[in-house]
Amino acid sequence: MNFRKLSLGLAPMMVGMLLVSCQESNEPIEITERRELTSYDTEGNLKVVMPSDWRRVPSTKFRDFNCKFNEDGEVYISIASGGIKENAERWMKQFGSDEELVVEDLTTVDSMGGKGRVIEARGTFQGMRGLNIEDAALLGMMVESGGNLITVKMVAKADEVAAQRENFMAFCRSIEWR
Amino acid sequence: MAKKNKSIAARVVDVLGGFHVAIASMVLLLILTWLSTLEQTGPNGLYWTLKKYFSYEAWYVLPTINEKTFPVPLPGGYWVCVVFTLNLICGGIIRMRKGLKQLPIFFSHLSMAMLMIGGAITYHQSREAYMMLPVGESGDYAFSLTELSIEVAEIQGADKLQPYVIGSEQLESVRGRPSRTQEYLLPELPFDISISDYYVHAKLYPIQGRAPEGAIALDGYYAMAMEPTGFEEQNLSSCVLRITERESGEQHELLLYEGVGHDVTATIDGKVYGFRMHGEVWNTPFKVRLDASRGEKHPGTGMAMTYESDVTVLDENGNDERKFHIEMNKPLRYKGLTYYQTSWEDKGHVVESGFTVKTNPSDQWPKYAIYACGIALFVHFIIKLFGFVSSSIARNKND
Repeated sequence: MNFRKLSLGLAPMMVGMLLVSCQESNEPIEITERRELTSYDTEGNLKVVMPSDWRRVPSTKFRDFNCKFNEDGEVYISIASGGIKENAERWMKQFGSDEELVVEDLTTVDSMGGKGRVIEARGTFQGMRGLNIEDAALLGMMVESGGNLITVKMVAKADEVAAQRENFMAFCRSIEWR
Repeated sequence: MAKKNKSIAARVVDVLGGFHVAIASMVLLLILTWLSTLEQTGPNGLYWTLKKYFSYEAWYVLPTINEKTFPVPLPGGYWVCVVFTLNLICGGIIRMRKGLKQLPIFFSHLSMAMLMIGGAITYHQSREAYMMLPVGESGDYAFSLTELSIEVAEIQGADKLQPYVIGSEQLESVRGRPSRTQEYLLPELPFDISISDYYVHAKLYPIQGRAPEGAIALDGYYAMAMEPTGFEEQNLSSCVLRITERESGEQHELLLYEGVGHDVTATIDGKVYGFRMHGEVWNTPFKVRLDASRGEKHPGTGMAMTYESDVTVLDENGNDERKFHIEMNKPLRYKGLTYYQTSWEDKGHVVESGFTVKTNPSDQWPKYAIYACGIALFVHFIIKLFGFVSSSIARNKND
């Protein structure tokens, strides 16, 4: 008797639960809700304007602001240690050059309230992890600011780097501390 | 004869309000609580065990003990609570004999029903997020450690515009179901997006040579699906976001990863848009500044033994509005929000307090319900005691 009563009451409820749990629509969902900006949206120490034909990709341990362009072109900002000379010579070595650099002879670009030194190289790029790019070019910039060395490095095929030169310079000029 | 004339609704109320349903519900809740307590210590952890046993979607549960699933379906805890609440309302309030003497019992049932309804309001309406503050800093947002969102925002120069938010509920259909795709329409933007390959836990690696087989590789990175950990706040999700330009139909694919602390971008119609997957961000209605934080850890462990914080609520101009002291089990309650301190960390150069920020319309209901029930049962006991004493006196007189 009691069980009959129980089933009478619970059966419709179980059917209801089944219906609720089975409805799983995959219809497109319209999104119009926006969130106010907060301090959460202020990211990192650096403020940068990225050219619109580049795209930002995930940062890594040594790439604080990491971008790509075209298929495989790379540009990234690092906050490094050491001086301009040894870092620039390390970059040049990646293009097979053992030439000693004179920092004062390097061309300059305004960046972070100071004069950034521009480093250029061309040839076969031999990067980390066995990466090898034939007919590649380097366009780099290093500037000392607030006790840090800020480096910007672009590596890609030589013609792609040449085409991005203006973007690169504008990018370097835009960098500032938050 | 009278029984035969009862309507179906009356019969349903009779059955639902019956004593047997109350007993069955309470026994089931006891079993479910016991089993889920056992299960949450296993690899599923607390978050997923609670979802499995007590979520709205879980209408039945197959318990797992020692990583073995028992083929004994039990009703989901949420629905047992629904039946129990209906039982309290039908049996303890509607069907109950009405009278002055029954008033305390009526109120005790009513308060228990309020407790259950308060639980339902908490389940559906409360919101919880986390705020981490170093001493001297102020915070105007909290973020969820378990409920993820995907945000889409236009980036103008170095500045981001207000992001569009795809909340965790809107991602639920694809979350942890990598074979499913969900489309999202963004009528105010020149493109729509779809989400697929959503893994609850994954790791992101830069491609060195070739990505491993089975991994999702995009733009020099690949995401490798991992077995989710029981601690949901430690899982880092990944998904593939496909952008379809509405005018041209051109598509772009991005790999989103919760562990990336910034937007990844795509350029559409000459404008840069940022896309980010992270815990739901909740803009708090007022700023809180952490003035001081003190704590102590159990020796030889990373577990906090005790902690307390002095905070100041700031007004919209950043001026001090009110000061509070927060410690374990003594949260800050202000303007509908509750701040519980849930962590404390001394990093040497900086001391941080972590707060769970919660909004819950039925925050104090359990307390009031328990007070009301306690008083009602006490009054009932006193009435019964007086009845017993007076009848004993009367009996003695007669003897």
